[in-house]
Amino acid sequence: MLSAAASMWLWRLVPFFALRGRTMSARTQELLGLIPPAAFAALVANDLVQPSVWATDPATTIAQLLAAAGVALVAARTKNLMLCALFGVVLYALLLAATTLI
Amino acid sequence: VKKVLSYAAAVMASYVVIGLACGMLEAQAGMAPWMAAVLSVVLYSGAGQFMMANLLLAGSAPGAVAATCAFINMRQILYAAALAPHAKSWRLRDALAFAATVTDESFGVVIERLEHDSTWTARQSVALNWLCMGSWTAANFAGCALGAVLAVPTELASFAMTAIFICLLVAQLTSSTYALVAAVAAAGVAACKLAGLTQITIVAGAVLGILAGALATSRSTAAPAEKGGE
Repeated sequence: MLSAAASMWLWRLVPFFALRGRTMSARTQELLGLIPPAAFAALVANDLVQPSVWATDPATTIAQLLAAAGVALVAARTKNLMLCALFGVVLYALLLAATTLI
Repeated sequence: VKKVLSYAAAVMASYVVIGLACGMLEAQAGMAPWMAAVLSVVLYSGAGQFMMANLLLAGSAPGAVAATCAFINMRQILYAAALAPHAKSWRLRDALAFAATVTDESFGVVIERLEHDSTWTARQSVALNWLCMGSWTAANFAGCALGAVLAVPTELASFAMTAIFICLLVAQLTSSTYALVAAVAAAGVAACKLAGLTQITIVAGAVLGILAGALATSRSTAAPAEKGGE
């Protein structure tokens, strides 16, 4: 437990304090600005791309992708985290229920 | 506090549901509620804690559990690098309290505030992180203590987190370069998963996206210079 926590603190603290006091070039700042869209796209894809589920339960995959598309539309209109989370869960639950009826 | 709560509420609510599920799994792995709470503070990683409990249940060696946990959390390096320039003038105490408690979700909320709200302070960033950590820790403790009598719909709860990530991603898509970065990162994750490289998917995908963006921006800045030199 302690060694896992130690590595976590290493990742969290070392780059933060190594870069905190430095004056960065415009190019470096431009590159650091690429991190958020890359990280969130990777996290979303990690949740949605599940080859084992695609193979065994395509209906759930379709429900998940449709719910994700719905959340993206709500996010584009509102940019409201809570609304997106609520809308996503309700839509996904409805779509999952629909797949059991089909 | 009201302003911070309004930004933290969605993350805190999803942490309560996911944290309950995580606590239940930790109880199955043999942890006492106080251990789940301590782990939630010192490690404070949803993916890390789920994986740790699963590996302990599977009988993995402690060294393997620690190494796997360290590996899947390497994306924190990217978050720390992106946040550091915004913390240049912060007091050391605030910087430490903030940097030690960054998660995927709090990173998204705080970086968006720091980039677009000039009134957002270091203290507000720290408060947001600690409120989220408080809800995560309390939910892990409760899940571990009440695991036998609670039934959390894990699949729906985890989709709440996906929805939060989608919202944070959409907020970032402000230029064609960022859209390219996101598309390449997502494609990189898909490629890693199809290749069976499940433990490095997020870091590898994100790094590929950043490299694509770096290439695109270097070409777009080089093109006018070449044109001017002709």
